Amino acid sequence: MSDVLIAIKNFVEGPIDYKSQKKTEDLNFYLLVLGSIIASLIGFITQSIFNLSIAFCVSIAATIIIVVPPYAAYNKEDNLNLPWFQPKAVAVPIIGEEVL
Amino acid sequence: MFSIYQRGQSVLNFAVTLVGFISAFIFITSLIQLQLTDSFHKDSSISTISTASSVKFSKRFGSVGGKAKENNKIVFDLQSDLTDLFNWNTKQVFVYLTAEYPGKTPESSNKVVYWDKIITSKEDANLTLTNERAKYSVWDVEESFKNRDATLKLEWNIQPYVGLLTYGETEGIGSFTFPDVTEEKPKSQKKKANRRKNN
Repeated sequence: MSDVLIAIKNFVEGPIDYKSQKKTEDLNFYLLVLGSIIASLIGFITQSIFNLSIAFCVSIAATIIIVVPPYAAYNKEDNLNLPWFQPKAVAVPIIGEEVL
Repeated sequence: MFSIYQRGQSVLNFAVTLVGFISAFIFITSLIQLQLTDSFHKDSSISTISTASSVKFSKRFGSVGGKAKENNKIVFDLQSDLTDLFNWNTKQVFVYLTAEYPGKTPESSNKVVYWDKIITSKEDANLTLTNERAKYSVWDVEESFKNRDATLKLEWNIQPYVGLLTYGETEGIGSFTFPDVTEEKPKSQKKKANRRKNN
């Protein structure tokens, strides 16, 4: 693939490194749970389901902004910098034949 | 969690799951609020001013094949404060005045609705009705229900934003007896009878 295509693919796909994948998964869980608890409290205290929905929507939007985009901080480790496995030539004895 | 698409998907998925939990929270807290305000035992006073039965021959009044059908209407007074039924999960309240009376056998009973109202705001929930006429003309499966004792009750039904419908009734009880009507002839027959008399 040409560099341009790789750049486009990375922009559309937005990959992040392994550690950040774990981190965003945890952030997703804790932010949304916290958001829904706070939204429930706001709704209950003001006795209004409308306020609850607004608060919950805000927490969803905040979670999306934090979790979804591939920020530079999520790409500190280079995934592609793994060492390639180098195959070694090994002599294998085959029965009935002499190994050279 | 590798690509943008996967991350967006997992955020929205989990958000929808949480909407279920939030809905349950709303419904349960609204039930607790109803219990705390003692909404299932609200006071009400119902008194019947007058009852009137008439015999109808129209299909619209339950008559089948032009047979005589006894219809009943009442005029009543009603006082009940249902303001507490409005909490954060109440969209509107449907209140209806029912009359229960014995049916064909001693064990069975019939229930009919005389009047109902949809209350959409807390301000309208304090009901005070005087000399209110029944909304509906009521008839029985049988031809007549005269001389049976009926018990009036004000029942309510909360229609919530989230969760199940909640039913209940107020404590007050009114009572009346279905009056006895002698069968009237339809107007056309009356006219004929009059004409014969005049001749």
